[in-house]
Amino acid sequence: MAAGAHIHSMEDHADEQKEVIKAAHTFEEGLQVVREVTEIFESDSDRLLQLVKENSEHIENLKAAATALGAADVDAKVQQARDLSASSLMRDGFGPQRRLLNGVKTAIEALPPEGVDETVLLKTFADAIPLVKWLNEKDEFHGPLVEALKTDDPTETVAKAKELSDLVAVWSETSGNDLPAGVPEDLLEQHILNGVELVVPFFSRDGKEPLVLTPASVNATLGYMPDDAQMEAIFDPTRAIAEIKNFAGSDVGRFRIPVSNREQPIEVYSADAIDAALQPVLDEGGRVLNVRFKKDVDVIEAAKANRDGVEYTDESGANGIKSTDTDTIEPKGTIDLTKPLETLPVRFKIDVSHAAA
Amino acid sequence: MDILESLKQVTTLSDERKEELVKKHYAGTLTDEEREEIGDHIAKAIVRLERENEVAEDLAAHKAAA
Repeated sequence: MAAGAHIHSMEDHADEQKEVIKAAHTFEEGLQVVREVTEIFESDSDRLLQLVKENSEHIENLKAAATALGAADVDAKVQQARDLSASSLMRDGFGPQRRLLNGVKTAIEALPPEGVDETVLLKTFADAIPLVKWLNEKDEFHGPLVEALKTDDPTETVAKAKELSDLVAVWSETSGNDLPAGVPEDLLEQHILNGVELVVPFFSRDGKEPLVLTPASVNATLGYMPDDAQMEAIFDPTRAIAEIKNFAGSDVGRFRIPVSNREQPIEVYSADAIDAALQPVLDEGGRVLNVRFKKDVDVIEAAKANRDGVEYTDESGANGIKSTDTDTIEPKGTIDLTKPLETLPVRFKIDVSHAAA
Repeated sequence: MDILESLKQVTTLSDERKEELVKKHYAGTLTDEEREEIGDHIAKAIVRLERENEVAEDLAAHKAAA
């Protein structure tokens, strides 16, 4: 090797090493944030109340600093920020949800730095699951994060986490005032008003742009924060199915229609309604790739308990519920959606394609 | 009161910017725009802490009830 080439090669190697080290640091920083937020969640009541006390002191000190610095109208600004925070929970770094997401996102974006054991990632994310679940129950978070983190398979976790990272990026955009690029404003508004959903991602007409609508994005776009009643209306599955019809002209669409996370079951997913919604796709030579129920096992167990004689399979194809970790349950055989499942808070996903059957 | 110490809770401004602003404050050269800027960031930090408190209190109650 010529000396010049050798030096060049060494410089390249050194640059690569720097990138690896930088990525490793970024990765670790991201995980650290996840750990910190998780630690707060795992703290006992005394520690939590101590945190409240410390935060309260910080608030007083900040107010004093504002006064000392001559910052005007801080009370009014605080009220404005409160309003913004209440209506747009996860913007601008508010709250542990955003911090957790940022931590996950940072770690994932730096993944996989050379030499980092993926089990570290898995362990950290696994530790965060109870927090995410709790936030999810409070409707302050959305399901995909739970799904992305919930697996014992490191490879699958990493794959899901990467997918999540993309979703988070889009979600972050939609949480802001600007619409994501490529999404026509009227289309977004239509979907918010008609309500395919608020929580779970779906894809734009070209099937390329994942779009996540959250209460925050509704607020950002329409200028109001939906209350529970409005959320229920938006979650109206009949409307959601109608939206599938609207999207039937797409080349490939994926619709995850949530009716979960509600204490009161939302009724009526009839087979007829779904068939009718999918008919335009079928008419154009498309095919239904699958209809998949997605929900926590306890709900599936509840479904089983309420629906004697119906068997479900997990993804391995085995009868019954084999794993408490899987959240994707394939119905076995023909499912009559008019039967007791309609009284359960289930979620299902329909993948459609215009590819020739 | 150590103003810079208090501003540690402001996470939307860089440390460099905080230092610069505090230095200008002590030098008496802080502009109205910069005071406005500081106020905005402090307000955000206060609300972030308030929200964290809400979550922490909520969690504490959740744990106590569990």
